Amino acid sequence: MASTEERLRQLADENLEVDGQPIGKLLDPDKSLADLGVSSMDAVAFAKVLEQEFNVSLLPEQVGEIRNIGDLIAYLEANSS
Amino acid sequence: MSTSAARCWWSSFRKAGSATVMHVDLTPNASREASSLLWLNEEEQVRRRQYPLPGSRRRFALCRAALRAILCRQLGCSNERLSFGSSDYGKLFALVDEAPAAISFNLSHSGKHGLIALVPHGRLGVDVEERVPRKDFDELSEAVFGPHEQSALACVRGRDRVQLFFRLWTIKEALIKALGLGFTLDVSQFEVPAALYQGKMSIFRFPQLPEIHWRVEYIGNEDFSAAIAHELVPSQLSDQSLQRQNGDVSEKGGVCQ
Repeated sequence: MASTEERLRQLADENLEVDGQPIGKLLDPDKSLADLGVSSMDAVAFAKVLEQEFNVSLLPEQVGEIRNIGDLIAYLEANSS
Repeated sequence: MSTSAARCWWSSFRKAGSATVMHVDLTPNASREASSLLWLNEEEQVRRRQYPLPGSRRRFALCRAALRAILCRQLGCSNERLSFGSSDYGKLFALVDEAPAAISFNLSHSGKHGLIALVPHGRLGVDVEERVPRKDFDELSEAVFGPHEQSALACVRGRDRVQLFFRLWTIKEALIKALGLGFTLDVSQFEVPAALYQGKMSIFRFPQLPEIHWRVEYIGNEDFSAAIAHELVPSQLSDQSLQRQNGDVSEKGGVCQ
């Protein structure tokens, strides 16, 4: 079974592009999506994808606590069902 | 630090109330990118290199250099004396000789276009978006728009729908950037009144913060959608002609007007 990080990279490859390039391989636990050049619109859209794929809720107040990809992985692992 | 006119990639875009808005041309241009690096301090050079993709590196360098040049001119300081701090939510503010500078600014970029807005005081937010068609308008709309906004979108089709989607998005993002909380605020919990997105400029109040008035103006053109939101200070609020002319649109807008 794929790890949360592997699933996240695959979903990023399928759903996120910066300048036409998929960014799954570029995800870095110490960086945010904005650090990779992802727009706020794409980040909101990706959050909706993650909510469906991981069956989690990514409410705005929770998103505020997620500073980087590492935080996001930890959140998904702790809250997905 | 000087930049010749030929190398200058920013220009005056328009005035919006007391705010000045500058446009930054982010089209790939090796000469401009090389010039931009001369403006960046060591920390910014490191940050630029950490962007893994060249387009992101270019946009960061061109925008930050333009911001530095514009602020230096406005504040009458050298580039070496200028630095930046940021709030907990990442909103930048200017420092001159390590002390907060008496200016508010905000910047945004999308594709080939950047906008930098400046005012002497009051919180400020600006957003620009190139109108790139997307497959996920419906999902995004559900995430960020309230029922009246979604109804308004449901009333239009094709190009008009794309235009309205980006108009609503940029107005909302300008407002939350002005507030300084980013997407930690549930943006579906407040709505852009119809009078605002159908017109050019109006006064807005968040339901949760009715005491604060924001001057909101749509400033998009044929190339991009854009909006600016500026916190009005008491002296500006007492300008009765402003209020009479534009009305107060803190109430939720109607549908399919």
